Amino acid sequence: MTQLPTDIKEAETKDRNKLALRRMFLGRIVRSLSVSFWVMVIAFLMIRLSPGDPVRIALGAEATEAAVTEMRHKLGLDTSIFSQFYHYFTGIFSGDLGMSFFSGLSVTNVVGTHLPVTLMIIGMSILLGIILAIPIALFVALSKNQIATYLFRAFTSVSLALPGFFLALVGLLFFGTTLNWAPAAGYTGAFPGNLHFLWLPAVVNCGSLVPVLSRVLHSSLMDTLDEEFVETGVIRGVRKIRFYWSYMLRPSLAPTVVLLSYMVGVMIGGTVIMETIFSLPGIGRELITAVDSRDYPVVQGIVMIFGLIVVFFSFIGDLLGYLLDRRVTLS
Amino acid sequence: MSNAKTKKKRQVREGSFGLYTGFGMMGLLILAGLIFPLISKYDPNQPGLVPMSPPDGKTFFGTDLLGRDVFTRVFDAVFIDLGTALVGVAIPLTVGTIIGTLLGISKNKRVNSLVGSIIDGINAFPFLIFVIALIAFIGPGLKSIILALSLVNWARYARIARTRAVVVNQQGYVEAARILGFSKVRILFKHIIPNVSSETRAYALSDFIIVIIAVAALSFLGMGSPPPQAEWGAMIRDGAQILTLAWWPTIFPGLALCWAGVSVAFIAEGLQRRLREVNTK
Amino acid sequence: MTNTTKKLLQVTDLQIGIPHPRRETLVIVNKASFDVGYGEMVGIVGESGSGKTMVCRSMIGTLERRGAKVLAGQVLFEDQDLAHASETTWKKLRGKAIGYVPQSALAGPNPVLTIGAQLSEALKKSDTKGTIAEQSKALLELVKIRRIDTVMKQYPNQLSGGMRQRVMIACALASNPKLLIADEPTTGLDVTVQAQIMVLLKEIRNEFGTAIILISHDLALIDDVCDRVVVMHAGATVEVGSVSEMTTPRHPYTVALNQSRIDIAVPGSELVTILGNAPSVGQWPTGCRFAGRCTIVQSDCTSGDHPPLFGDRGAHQSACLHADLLKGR
Repeated sequence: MTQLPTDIKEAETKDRNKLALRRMFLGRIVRSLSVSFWVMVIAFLMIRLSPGDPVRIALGAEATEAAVTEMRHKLGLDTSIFSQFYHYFTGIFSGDLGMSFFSGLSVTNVVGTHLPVTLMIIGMSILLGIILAIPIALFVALSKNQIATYLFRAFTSVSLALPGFFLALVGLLFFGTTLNWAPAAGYTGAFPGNLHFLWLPAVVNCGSLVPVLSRVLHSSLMDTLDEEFVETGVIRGVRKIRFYWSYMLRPSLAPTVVLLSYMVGVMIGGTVIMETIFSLPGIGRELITAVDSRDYPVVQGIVMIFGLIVVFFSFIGDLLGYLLDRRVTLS
Repeated sequence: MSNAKTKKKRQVREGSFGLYTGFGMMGLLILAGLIFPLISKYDPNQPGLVPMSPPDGKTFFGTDLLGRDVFTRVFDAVFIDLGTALVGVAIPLTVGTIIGTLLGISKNKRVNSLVGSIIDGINAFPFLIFVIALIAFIGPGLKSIILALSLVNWARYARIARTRAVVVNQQGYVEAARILGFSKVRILFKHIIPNVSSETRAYALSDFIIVIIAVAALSFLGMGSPPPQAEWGAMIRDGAQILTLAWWPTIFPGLALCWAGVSVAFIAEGLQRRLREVNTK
Repeated sequence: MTNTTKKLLQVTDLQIGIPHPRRETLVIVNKASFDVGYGEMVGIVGESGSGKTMVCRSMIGTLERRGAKVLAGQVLFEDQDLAHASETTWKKLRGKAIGYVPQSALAGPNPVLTIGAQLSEALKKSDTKGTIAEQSKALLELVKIRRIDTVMKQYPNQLSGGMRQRVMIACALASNPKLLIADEPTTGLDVTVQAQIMVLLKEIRNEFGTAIILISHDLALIDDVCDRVVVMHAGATVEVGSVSEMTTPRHPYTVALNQSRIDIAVPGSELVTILGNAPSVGQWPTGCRFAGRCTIVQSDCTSGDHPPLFGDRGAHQSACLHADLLKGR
């Protein structure tokens, strides 16, 4: 067989693709690491660059000069900024995020104890969000019904504008007080008993996720339905379930997955409020307590951890999006 | 194509429906915020009525734990809430657009990558968490909320503006203005910023919804206005403590908050559809 | 039937429309008639909007997906009327006797499945012998793809446009079809690659006796590879004939198409373009739908129905009332 010009081109394309893949993967890692570094820097600078004097705000107006100096020393704010950053930065890598002012516990300890509850709420919200969003988007996209589409659009834009903390209270009033299905306090940690305490926060929290996810998925599904390869699949006689998955859902999923990873930050914000309302011992409630008592090391540590979590999930989301659909980064 | 024409017509109507509903709802809320506190016979912040009495013919929304009229307080709070959110969007919109545009057109690679990294770093934090943490350092209050919102959100606008400015900067009309010898400042303000800000302003509208809710949520967490100032989030916070005994001090400010959020959502949706319709023409 | 030899496909007075719940049905194809013989390569040519894609969708059962349906007429494939086939019938037919190569090579293959997976999907419905892996390799060999083992594991976006279209052809051939429909299969490909695909199609026809319908807006392309040509304008077939017959066109639209061909234009002379635009769907005039652009239009052209194809089926047919006026040209 003769060497066709397309084949030569093909060989080049293949190498280019491999290179592009490697470059994109390395690029993502480098980017994530660099963003992580800046997350640490910003968390570090927050207390030092804040307008006003955080130490005086913490101690109140009547604080003596001696008390202020002592607190500065405790926070390590009396050394040069570079040596402060050096200690902070090396501390992070040895798992040392500083000490809480009041409890005397290490911040690492505080985060370690309370993170599981928070991650569980976020995980449940995301799971629930996916379970609800996919069928909704599929149904609306497949029905091609004008009224369904219109209602869907109205429903999503309205539900995005509803405040989660208010919905949580309404839910608590209804399910907690009236039906006695959801407790407002008294969390116990063991799985699966804790689901009793977590289901309502997770339901409310996914209220901000479902509209966003279903909307993006719906619009990608509509795009996919117009694609020619769907026609090819129909003509080829691909069977139902396989058709729905390989020809509709999977080619449409990548933007939703990427978006979902970006929504982790929003979920974290919502979780902080849910933990406060439902008295759940998560890291979010710790943050609010620390803010109220001006426990700066705890605030700084928690904020940084949340920042890193978001960076991590964006990295995973980008990667997953690419694995699901090769068009994402190469086209 | 008669089919395409009618389709377009329907889209205009749909967009308009959202716009009219949104503006109508917002107008009603603002009107109520102007009128009701003035004509109400109760002082929003002065206790004196029977505490926790349910809604009736005199106190339409009932009274709260301290014996204040919830109705008067809900509408007294309209301008506090909307105003705080408006300023909390306007400042980062302006600052972010300008910084982002300057980054987009600047040729200084070092500044670009440094500020770019800071922008990425700030955007990596969950929005609400970062604002809460900043308030921990600058102290509570509505001004602090605005300041914290500005410190966090400018980065989001800057990212959008930078991407857009890079594109706009290469457009023919900017190139033409440059060849014609217009001053850099004139090109920046006459040609580049208006085209960049159309994008950031569009984002600001959907951001407005988030910020309205965030302001109330922060107050709800006890980081907003100090008592006795009527503010929806703070009212819900106070009401939540007696939620099982009296639902009205919580539900009515909450509904007002929902009303505000939904009206902006409708405006945003309507405007978006209209813009899309104009773009496809 | 005037022609005694049995035809593979007979399209007769096909009418396709898009029904609307509140308004009148929008007719997009009306009076389309042509035949395809066994092993014959037929080109359908026409401007965009002439209904050629819709006609071909009626043969693969995807009209309903686009909200359209056959209103009248027949699409006889062997002895089966495809025009009014139910979804159940289509389920049995699909992926068997009729193969389809989609319009855009870039968007044709499923982006999330490997080439191997798509081939095996196409092969599942066929009843040929051998394992799926063997057959897949044989198919890729057939469409002249090299490094077959690598390609099988690759995703469409890793292949060039020409390669993707070869893969699509391989998929369409999986079930050993009697008819292959290629809807503008070279859109968006380089000219050299275009030529290769065309050669490949012709080779397939010669080797396996597969009848091929090639849809294109490029008359030159069709002239090169096809046996017969069907010219469509504004939803109707206006001229049908063999390639050699088409050198003396009997419809003014074909004349115009010929004159606007770049490949045979005299260097230095101005390119002739066809006067005006084809009438939009839903705004067809009474009488001949080409009358508004015609250079030889007569008074009787603008009244009554659009003229049918005159002449015997299988012979050189034209839908022009005054084809004799073209003789002198």
